[in-house]
Amino acid sequence: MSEMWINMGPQHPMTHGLWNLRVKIDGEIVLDVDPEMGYLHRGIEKISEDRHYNEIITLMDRTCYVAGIAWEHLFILAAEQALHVEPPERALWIRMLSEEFQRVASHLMWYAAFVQDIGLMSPFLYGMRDRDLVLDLFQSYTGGRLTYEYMRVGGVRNDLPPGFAEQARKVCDWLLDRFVEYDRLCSGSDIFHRRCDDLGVVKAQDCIRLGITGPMLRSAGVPRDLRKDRPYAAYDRVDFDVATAETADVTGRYVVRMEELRQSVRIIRQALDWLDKNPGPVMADNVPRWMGAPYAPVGREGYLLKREYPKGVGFSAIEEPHGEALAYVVNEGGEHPYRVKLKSPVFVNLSAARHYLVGYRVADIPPIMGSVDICVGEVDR
Amino acid sequence: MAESEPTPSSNPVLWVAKPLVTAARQFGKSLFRPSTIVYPFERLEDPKFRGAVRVAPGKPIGVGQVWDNYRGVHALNIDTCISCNLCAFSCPDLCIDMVTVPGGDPRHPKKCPQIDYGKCSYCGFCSDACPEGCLTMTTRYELSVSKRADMIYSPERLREVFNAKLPMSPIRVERPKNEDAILLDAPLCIGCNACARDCPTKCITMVDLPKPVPKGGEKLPKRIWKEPVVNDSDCVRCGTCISVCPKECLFWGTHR
Amino acid sequence: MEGEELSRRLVGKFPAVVVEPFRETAGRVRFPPEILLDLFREMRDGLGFDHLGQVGAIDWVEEREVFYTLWSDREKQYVFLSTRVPASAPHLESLTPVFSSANWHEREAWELVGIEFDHHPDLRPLLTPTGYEFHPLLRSFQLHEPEGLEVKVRDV
Repeated sequence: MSEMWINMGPQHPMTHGLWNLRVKIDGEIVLDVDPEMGYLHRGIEKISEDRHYNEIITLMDRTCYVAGIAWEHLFILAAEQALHVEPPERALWIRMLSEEFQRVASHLMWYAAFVQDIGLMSPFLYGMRDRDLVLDLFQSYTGGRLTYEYMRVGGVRNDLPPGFAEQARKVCDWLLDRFVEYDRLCSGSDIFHRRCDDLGVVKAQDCIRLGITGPMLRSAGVPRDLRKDRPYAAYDRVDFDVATAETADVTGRYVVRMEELRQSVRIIRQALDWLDKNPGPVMADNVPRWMGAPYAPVGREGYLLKREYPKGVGFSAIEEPHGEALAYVVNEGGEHPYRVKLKSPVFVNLSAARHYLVGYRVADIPPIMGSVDICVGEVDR
Repeated sequence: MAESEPTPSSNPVLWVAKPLVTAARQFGKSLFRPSTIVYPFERLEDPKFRGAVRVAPGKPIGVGQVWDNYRGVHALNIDTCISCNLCAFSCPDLCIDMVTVPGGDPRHPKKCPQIDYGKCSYCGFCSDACPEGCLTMTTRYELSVSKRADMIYSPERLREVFNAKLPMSPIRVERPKNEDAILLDAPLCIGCNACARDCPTKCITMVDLPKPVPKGGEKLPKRIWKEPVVNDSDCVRCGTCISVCPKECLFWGTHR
Repeated sequence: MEGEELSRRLVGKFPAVVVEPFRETAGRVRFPPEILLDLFREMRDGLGFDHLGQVGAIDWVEEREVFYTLWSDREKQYVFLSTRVPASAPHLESLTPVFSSANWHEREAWELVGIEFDHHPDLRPLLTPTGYEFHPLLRSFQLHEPEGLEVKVRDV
């Protein structure tokens, strides 16, 4: 049979978003792939140049629509460095708590989408149902379920409401119970292993050569996690293990993510304990008013003629649910950042698609791409 | 991790049976514990779901609850609005216009926010910025309309939302403590009274300056011998005075 | 690896580089564009910074800065490298022979900031549509709509 190019996407159940995977096939065998991105390019980096620092938070939520608060965290860490602001300690712990809740929500979303890719419908509903509990918790203290707009330069918007810790602990208990069921449904099943073992293999040295990070890298046996290796927020003060697997295939990524869910719950419990014992302010003093909404009317010319602002650059790296995300913020002394550069882990993981898709069959593409955990919002930005 | 270890079995019946048992157990659990509500007939904000926790001991998954600080449609209390423009300034999407409402005096009409929900991103910056607490976000989330023009909520429509007495967020956002203040570049001031006239909180008073006696040959500047003094505790930092100042002599600064 | 050690090991081989302390990383290495490939080979093979984090570019109007982030698993540290090319001739050697993961990063930097990466294997637009002839992240690209442009919305 002759070779041909086919398009999987932009509207295809495999894509989990809006992108196009061009696949060169010979019969059922994949010979070459070429991802086409850009369907969701909103120019977030450009719009950021025209907004105040706090207003960019609204964009960060929309950068990755399943891990909004992780991207808020990433940007805020870089922006605080660029603006020379020190957040209070309690804000750091609340941010860490939020990021771990976001990791749970994101991984549950991934679980729901991934099991659907391999043909299981019921676990999809289970995953979405349990994710909803986490979103309820988010709603109780940020006010949003998907776009939180919670973090601010110098801290977070508000403290946790009374009764939150009790609710959160119940959700943690419930989730740990659920994870056992998830494993029974998937990795406890021989059909799952026959479907997913030795699929989409990227070995450790290839991962490093290709720049792959996150659960894909850890599934190849590299115990690399920025929360451990380069602790930010309060990660150096909580106890957790880095989940790894040795198989470097789709099953390995599943195992890593399920273990990360458990470790996230572990971190959440420690953070809740700490937050119970240590009340305090959640917003730094001395946050300059020109930093933007919602604290200052800024944006009309003439306000800023008589002031000088400190310059600075900020560079931050966090372990986002999908992998390592980097942000670089240049503050040239204006109201707005001069440049905001965001590096998405999915961007890199996806750019290596040729290495984990070629040689497999067309029917293997959905499970493999599902195990990569694509979020097109942060690829295209 | 023990659960996720592969369990090789040669019996194909077990391949199917094991997941089926788990699924059946899940199904049985969810029979008595619905995870969903019948939406148009039941609503999350109904009193029977309010105060109830979604996760209760013994009955882990209930249905749901919209917490009060959900960011939905705004409610506007027109009576307490001071037309300070802060909500419109803080909006990142520029979806708030200040439009004239009846009730102000003819020379300085009262202006209240009008929100275009086609643009709004529900970030809540406007209600965080509101110094009087008159623009708040409610738990109303149903916005579908059949015309684009209906997405624009005039102040009167926002007042209707306020009058519906929906639950509103109990969370008040702390403002940064060490805020900047309005400072005066005194030599530029001509004492024109524009800032004091337009100040929404009337916290600017014009005080008399002693008119200096011209020494030999020196020409006095042509001005009114008054100067604004800002009462910092009443000032909401809206910046109206800065924007109306004809000489650009007011600016943001920090008291030394 | 501390900044001094990085400086000592790099400056010996490449006298043109400048190492500054930078934001909880091993340092910020400023280097002239000519030594790009040699420097990165040395960073990867000699110093163990074998994981390319990002490639990005900034438009400084007269010149354009291209910055790189490398990670070392051995040192558990990032290092930040940057170089500048004139805006009149924004040409830079492609990093793909050393780090193949630079491919997409450079495509993005090319289409958004207009850095021409020489000897890049596949310099096509990545995010912007085919035929889009602007570089949106240049400072000269105005975000605001031109005067007089009216967006008409039709109600149904």
